[in-house]
Amino acid sequence: MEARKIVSKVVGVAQSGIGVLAIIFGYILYYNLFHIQGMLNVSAQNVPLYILLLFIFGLLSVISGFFLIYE
Amino acid sequence: MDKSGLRRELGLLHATMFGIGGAISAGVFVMLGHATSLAGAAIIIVLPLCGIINLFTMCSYAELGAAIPSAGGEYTFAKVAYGGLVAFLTGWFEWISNAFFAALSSVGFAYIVSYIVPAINVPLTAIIMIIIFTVINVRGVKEAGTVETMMMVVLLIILAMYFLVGWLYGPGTGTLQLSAPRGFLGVAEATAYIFVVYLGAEAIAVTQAEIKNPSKTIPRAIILSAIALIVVYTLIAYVTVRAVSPEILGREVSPLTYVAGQMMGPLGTILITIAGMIAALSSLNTSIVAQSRVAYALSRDGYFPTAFSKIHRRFGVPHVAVILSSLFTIALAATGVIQFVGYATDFGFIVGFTLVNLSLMKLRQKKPNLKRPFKVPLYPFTPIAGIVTSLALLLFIDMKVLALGVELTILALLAYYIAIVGHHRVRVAFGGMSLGIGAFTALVAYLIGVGFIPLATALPQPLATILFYGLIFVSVISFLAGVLNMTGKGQR
Repeated sequence: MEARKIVSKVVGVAQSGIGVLAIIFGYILYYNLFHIQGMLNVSAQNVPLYILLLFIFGLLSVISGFFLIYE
Repeated sequence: MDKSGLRRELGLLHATMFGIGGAISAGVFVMLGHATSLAGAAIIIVLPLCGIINLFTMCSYAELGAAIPSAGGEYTFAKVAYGGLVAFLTGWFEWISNAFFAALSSVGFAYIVSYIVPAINVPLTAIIMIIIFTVINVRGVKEAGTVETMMMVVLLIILAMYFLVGWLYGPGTGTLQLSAPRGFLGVAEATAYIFVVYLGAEAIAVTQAEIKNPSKTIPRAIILSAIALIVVYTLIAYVTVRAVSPEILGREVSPLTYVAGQMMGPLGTILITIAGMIAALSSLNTSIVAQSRVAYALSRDGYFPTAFSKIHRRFGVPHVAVILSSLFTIALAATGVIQFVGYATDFGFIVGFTLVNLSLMKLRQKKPNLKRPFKVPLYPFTPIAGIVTSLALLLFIDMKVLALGVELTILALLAYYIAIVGHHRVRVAFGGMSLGIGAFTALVAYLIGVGFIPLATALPQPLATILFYGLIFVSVISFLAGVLNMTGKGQR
């Protein structure tokens, strides 16, 4: 059971981290920091869709990760 | 100390200042222009009229606050009156509208600063102010109350100077004849438009578990702040319309700054700009206090995670609720989208007003013997007038607000379902979603690997390689998280 707890915590932290990074990446894309839209060939028209997807993915990952961390 | 662990440290002065500071936001400094273009010089009548409409509902807050002085304000009233979904919806709208109002105030402050220092980053400035006021709020409610009182004293002094200079020495080029160029409809539209400047005073009710001698102080603070707002707004409108004609005011982005500049020169412009900044910060402070106490109350009753109801041993405040709610506000402020945030704030507060009046009427029937240190005068006329006027405001409100309101209600119903359905089932659901994300990212990685998605032609090779391995990593973690969540033991 201890091993499972450790695995859960590690996976939870990793998944939450991925979620937070996805949300931060969404902000970077929205404000076009480091000219990221040009670098990734993302047209300004499609940015809202990408942000929506990144935020949904980010939030799901953070919540799922928290369930594992606080198991 | 309250039995909840919150400390009763706010006196009449602090509580009243929370009420006035919660309502006087940067909005009044810009909204007066458009309202005057709708109502003409009759704006002098519109503002006290809005104040009287506000007073109807404030009387309900005063009665309920004195009778049920527990943390949570409207949510607690609705819980005692109705319980269940109605209480949750009230708390939800109260929490979310205060979070949006805090974001709106911080972004509003940053915009005012950007007029003086155009080089500043608006979202970053807003975030820094939220962090500063979060730290003040974590230190204790008395500290937050003292900061609020200091800001309000300075603000009221500046507004008193504006009034006195305008009254004694201001130009009399404007008309004082109470004309309404667009007739009754224009006056009604102006009433619906400018009413929002009175919203926020109910913050007193949210902090009622931290107010000394609540049965006397709460009704006094609520009624005092509601009357003070009527006086302040009416006097400001009087000297403003007297100094400059409604046509000119309607064209100005910041009419008060313009009129102050006309009356006092550059000093007036600077003073009103400072007043705008203070007003925005006082609203931010009040909103942080309010949203954290609502989150605390929702957590206390099992709707929010238990961490929100933890009380700091030394400072006696729900510090986790303050910090987590502020993080949510920071995320909103980081978007810098002030219009969207403003819409959400208005809808939440107006729904809250309606539900408080309904709660009062329900409790008068359900608990007639409840000890009520203050009673609403002219019952049932007063709460009915409060309900009718609140709903009437919704008729004049922008359609975008109503659309957003429907979306927020759906989100609330979803949150309520998650809260009552049980921890374990929610966890299994999130496990399923993680498995789905894992399968999807694995598919995308596979399609990139076999060359079906030509990533290497769209991106530089190193970036394409990093993205490919990144997707495999996300896929593995999501799969593992899915399996662990679905097989884990939960609190059933």
